[in-house]
Amino acid sequence: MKTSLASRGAALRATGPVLAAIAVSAFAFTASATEDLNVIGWCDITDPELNGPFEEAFDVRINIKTHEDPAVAQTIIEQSAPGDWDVFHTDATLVATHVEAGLLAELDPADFPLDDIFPQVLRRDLHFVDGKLYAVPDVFGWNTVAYNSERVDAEDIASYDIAWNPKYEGRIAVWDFYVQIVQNVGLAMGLAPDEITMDNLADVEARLLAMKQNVGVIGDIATIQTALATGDADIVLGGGQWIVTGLQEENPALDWIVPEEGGIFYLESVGIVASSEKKELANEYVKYLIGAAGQGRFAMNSCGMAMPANSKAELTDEERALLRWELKDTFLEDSHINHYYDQELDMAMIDAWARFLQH
Amino acid sequence: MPGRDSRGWGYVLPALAWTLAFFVLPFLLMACYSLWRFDAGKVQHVWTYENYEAFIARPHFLQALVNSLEVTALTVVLSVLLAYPLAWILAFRVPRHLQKIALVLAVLPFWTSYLVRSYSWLLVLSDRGIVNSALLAAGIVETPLELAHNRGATVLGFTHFFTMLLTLTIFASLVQINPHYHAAAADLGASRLRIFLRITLPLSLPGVVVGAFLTFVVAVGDFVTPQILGGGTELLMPQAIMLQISRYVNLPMASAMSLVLMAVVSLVFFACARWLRVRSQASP
Repeated sequence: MKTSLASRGAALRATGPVLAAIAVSAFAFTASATEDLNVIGWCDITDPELNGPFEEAFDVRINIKTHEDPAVAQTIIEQSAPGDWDVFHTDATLVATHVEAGLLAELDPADFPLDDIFPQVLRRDLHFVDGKLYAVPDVFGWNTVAYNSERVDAEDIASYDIAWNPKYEGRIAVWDFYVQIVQNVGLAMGLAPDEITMDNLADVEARLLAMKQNVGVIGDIATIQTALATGDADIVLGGGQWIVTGLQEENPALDWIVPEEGGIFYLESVGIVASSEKKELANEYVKYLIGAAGQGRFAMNSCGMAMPANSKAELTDEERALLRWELKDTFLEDSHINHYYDQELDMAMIDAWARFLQH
Repeated sequence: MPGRDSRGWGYVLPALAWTLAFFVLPFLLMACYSLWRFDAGKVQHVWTYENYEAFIARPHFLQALVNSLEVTALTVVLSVLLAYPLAWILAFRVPRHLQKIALVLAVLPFWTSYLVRSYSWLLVLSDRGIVNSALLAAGIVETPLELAHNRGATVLGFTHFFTMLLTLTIFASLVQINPHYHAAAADLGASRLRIFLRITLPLSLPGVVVGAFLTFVVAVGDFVTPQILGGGTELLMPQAIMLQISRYVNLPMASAMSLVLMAVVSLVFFACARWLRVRSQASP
């Protein structure tokens, strides 16, 4: 044990200057930023390449807490002290719920280039409540099926039925976000997301449980992405462009598809928290995110690339090709927007999901 | 002796304050949460047992507890079986001047991040990992073996980590055994096997039990290894608890489940403590 302690002491001595340097640089950075802006959002908002230019221009430090579910983020904000959060990165379909809970501040439409936003994603029914703007769309994408085209037959991947095809036993990875997967299973059964109810949830669960024999991995984004990259899975249910676009340079065989039964598309949107004490700064940040330069960086973020909402996003031709810019209209037409459910159905889905994990 | 008493309290106070602040108070808070109601996405400060009732009523949660105990028991047994010979070799076969180097080598995996270690195992066990690539290249298998993302992978990841921990605790027990006991037994004609079974093993058991308990405590509550290596295909208690927090921020239910897990750990602790106490009382 003495050796161990001695080694630790030596290690501490050796790493001491490095730790000191980190501490000094952290302090220097803290000291240089005059303000903090607290943002809660998905991991795609964390890319330093995205936030760096804004932090530099406004002499601000952006602190980010990530979530994988904006409904959970709402609970976090509600359980926090007023003023803790400034910017809320959420899903368009939950904007009205946030407004009803008094969490989002009204935005001035004149502050944002709304005319440049693709008309399919600037939704009067979602981003506006009682005619007032509360959030603006920033990026969007699909939760469908991602796959390795070298190991999966093209005719099989065209339908969600592949998830139940015995040919792919153990080859399916599933994103552990129950709402998305339940909706994908619903589509496979011919149910649109808003057609899933307490009455037919048992049928959806039975179909979900039947899929388990083909499932090799269930996990968060990093886990399923790793499974696809290491070959432990050939198909990712619930995945889309955000799973594979970052991996395609290394493995061009990785691809994604909107199956013939349709897809689910998510529409990330950003608003300002009503209790924020830095609304002006928060507004500037939202303007930056929606602007052409910010949109280009947002679309190509390192966590999960996605289509920008702004048609004038600064992207190269190669980047647009990677995002399948030309196909977005077709994909949107073939997809249903992500849906969130009332508490009773949501809790029943979590129980169904737990039974699926245990099955 | 009041001066001595107050000096004694002075020495104890920092540890007491630390335990109160970072164990007792959080524990009481968690106990309160477990008895509060979660409704409409919010914690309601209404006293109720319904979280515990909900845990018992849902078979998949009980199964999660059973899974956790099975995985942990397997890990403890395998880790002890691997660590004991290693510790014995370190204590009795490695020359004294090389023991320190051998110990450093034994604990070397501790210096790597837990997360990195789990992902490293994934790269070893995955379909395109080192093992499968070697087996495929040698023509031993035609398709990759499913080595990752199952219970076996979780147990392997745990065992790799805890074998090192157990080696240290068992080694510490073994080196404390008076070497004259072995010499006396040998002089009286005892075989090596008999010396081991009648002297070495019984005297080193406290180290084994302490290490096994530490392994149990850490493994039963670990979230990372089952998540990464287990592939999420079966629900263990930490996963079930995280499901309540990450998908619903249902702190009351998560607290109730955590306390159930803590009760199980406490039972194991009392069993170990009782065994050690009985054993020490029985010793001459």
